[in-house]
Amino acid sequence: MPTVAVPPQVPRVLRLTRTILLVVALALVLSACVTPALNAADYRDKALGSAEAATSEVGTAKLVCGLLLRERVLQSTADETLGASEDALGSISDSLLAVQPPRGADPIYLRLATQLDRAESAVRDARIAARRSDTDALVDLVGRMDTILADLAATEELLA
Amino acid sequence: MVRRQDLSGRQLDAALQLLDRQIVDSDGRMVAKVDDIELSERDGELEVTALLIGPGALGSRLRGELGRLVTSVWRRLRTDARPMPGRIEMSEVVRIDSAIHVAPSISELESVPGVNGYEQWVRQHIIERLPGASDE
Amino acid sequence: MKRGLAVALGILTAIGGFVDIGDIVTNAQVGSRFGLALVWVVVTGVAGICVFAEMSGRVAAVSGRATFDVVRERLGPRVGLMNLVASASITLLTFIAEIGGVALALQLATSINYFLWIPLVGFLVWVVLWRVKFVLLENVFGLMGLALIAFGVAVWQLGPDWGDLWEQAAQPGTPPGESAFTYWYYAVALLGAAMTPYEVFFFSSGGVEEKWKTRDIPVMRANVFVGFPLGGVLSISIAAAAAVVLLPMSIQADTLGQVALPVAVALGKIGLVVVLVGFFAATFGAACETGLSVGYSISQYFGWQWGKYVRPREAARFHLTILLGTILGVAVLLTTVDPIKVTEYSVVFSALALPLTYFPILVVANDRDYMGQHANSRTANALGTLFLFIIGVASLAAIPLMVVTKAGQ
Repeated sequence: MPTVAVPPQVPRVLRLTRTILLVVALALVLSACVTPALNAADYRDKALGSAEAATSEVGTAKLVCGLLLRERVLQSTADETLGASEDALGSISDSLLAVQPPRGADPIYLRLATQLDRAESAVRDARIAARRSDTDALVDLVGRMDTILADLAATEELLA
Repeated sequence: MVRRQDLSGRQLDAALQLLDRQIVDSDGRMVAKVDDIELSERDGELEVTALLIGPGALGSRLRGELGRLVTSVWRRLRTDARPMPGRIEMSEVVRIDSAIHVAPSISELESVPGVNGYEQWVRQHIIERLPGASDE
Repeated sequence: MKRGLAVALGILTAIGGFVDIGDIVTNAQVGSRFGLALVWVVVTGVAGICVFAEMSGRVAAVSGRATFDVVRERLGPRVGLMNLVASASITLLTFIAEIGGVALALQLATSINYFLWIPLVGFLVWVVLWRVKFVLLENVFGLMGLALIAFGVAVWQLGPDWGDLWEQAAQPGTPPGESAFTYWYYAVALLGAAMTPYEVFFFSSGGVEEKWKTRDIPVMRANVFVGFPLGGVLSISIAAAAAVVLLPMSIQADTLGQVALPVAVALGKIGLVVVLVGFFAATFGAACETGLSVGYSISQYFGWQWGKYVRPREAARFHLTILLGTILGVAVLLTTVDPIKVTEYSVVFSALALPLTYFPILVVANDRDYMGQHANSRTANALGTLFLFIIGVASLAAIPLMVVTKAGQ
């Protein structure tokens, strides 16, 4: 069967692809890992990240509560958003607890762990109040979240 | 086997121009890509006598490990003892522009063994069994 | 008159169809973290997609050949195949993100968990790709996608300090608390979101589906040069809404619900409903486009009959590819992978693959044998080369930035 025969060539392109694939795989693995804290500075960074993430979630919940009180948000959207914030706070705590705090970091650890706990329970209460359309509870919760946000802001300042 | 050095540069150029172009039937239906070409010697001149299509032809052009894999899988899937890639005679080509236009219709082309066998299998065994496969 | 309406419809659907889950998520994330400091990237990306979509549309109108047809012709079977594997995987990843996005939008509207929606959404996408006419598909979702204008209305209603917003956009810089690496990581992600490769696969293949001829080039250009930039304005308004409402409250937009909140603040329940409709249309439309694009690119490489202008039985392998792609997409989503994470990765990997798509288009649009008098002008070439350089840099930077910033954390 006559065909155009092409002289064999070193598959450089193939090797390049392999390298690229390897790099991509490595990048995925690296970016997915939670690096264990090694020293005090790393731990502070990690704690700061957790505090900022918690601020974002509590802020979201507070915003949603405000919208519910002014009847500016759909029940379903409020419910889902509060649920998502509650879940996110859960995983923020989990990933902070997974890290061994270095010596001397206990005050930071205790302070942040307590704040995360309070944040999670406030958001959980907000979800419950939202489902019940419990206006009084929502008003209370907005106040509670304001305090938590102020405390988190203080922690962030301490860590920055 | 025709080696590259047997061809004059211009001839090779013309032949290579055909490679990887879309083959289109008389109605403008897409048939296949030119996966390879068949060259024959006539009166001391080399000419393209057929367009070769399907994995059997593509495998040899992919080269290397991958090419061998494609070719051997294609061979396994064929029932004939000495499988040949699908071919469309060069005499059936009517016009070449951004595509290669051939005179027969796609159903005439597909009646030749080796041409779009997988397409026909998928059509018969999967797509036509779904409701509405023949609706406009 | 009729022609005018057709042009207007084309432009409107180009606007509404421009935004997809990648644009929504990335713009909201960036707006909530960096304000408008990265708007210049969206502007650059939109200009880039205009330049290359016009080229690929012109190639389709003149030669009747769509993008992947010419990719293989120019790069040969081997490099073409590697390009296909990379491009089709990224398009598939985007497809998965879009289906997830539809499910998330439905969850926000109904409170029914998105997992329950995923199989249904997958099935509906497949039914639409199997049965619905191409033009109908493009027009319905394109027009519904215009609902995202609610973001623009919301920004206007919120009455922000326009001078401040302008300053953020005109004098970009890294805000306090963010590193330069994250800034550039999100710049790459935004570029990937704005210039997603599937858009040109879909655009050029759509040209073949709609049987564009040389005389249709002016209409195609109107769609691209008016429709896409206005679609880009929608993207920017999503970022602006997040910048005005979420940024001051230190809220990072990580869920679709958070993205929608600024509109609820400004416009209440009705605005929210409109935005949810917009989310649904934009993601469902994009799911159809990416699903088709997977089929288009694979079929075009191998030379199979493709397209919705023929009966499904005449494009059997094309429809099989779409069916398998949909099943795979649903299966991946059911592994509990977070659709927003999938979206984040899909835009960065899109950025990585940008040159693979755009380089062959530039080459073919220059080929006078192929294009005759419609080959690239000097301006088109200069712009094409400039953007190729930009996306080349973004592509090289994508993975290192991803590693350094742990994917933007």
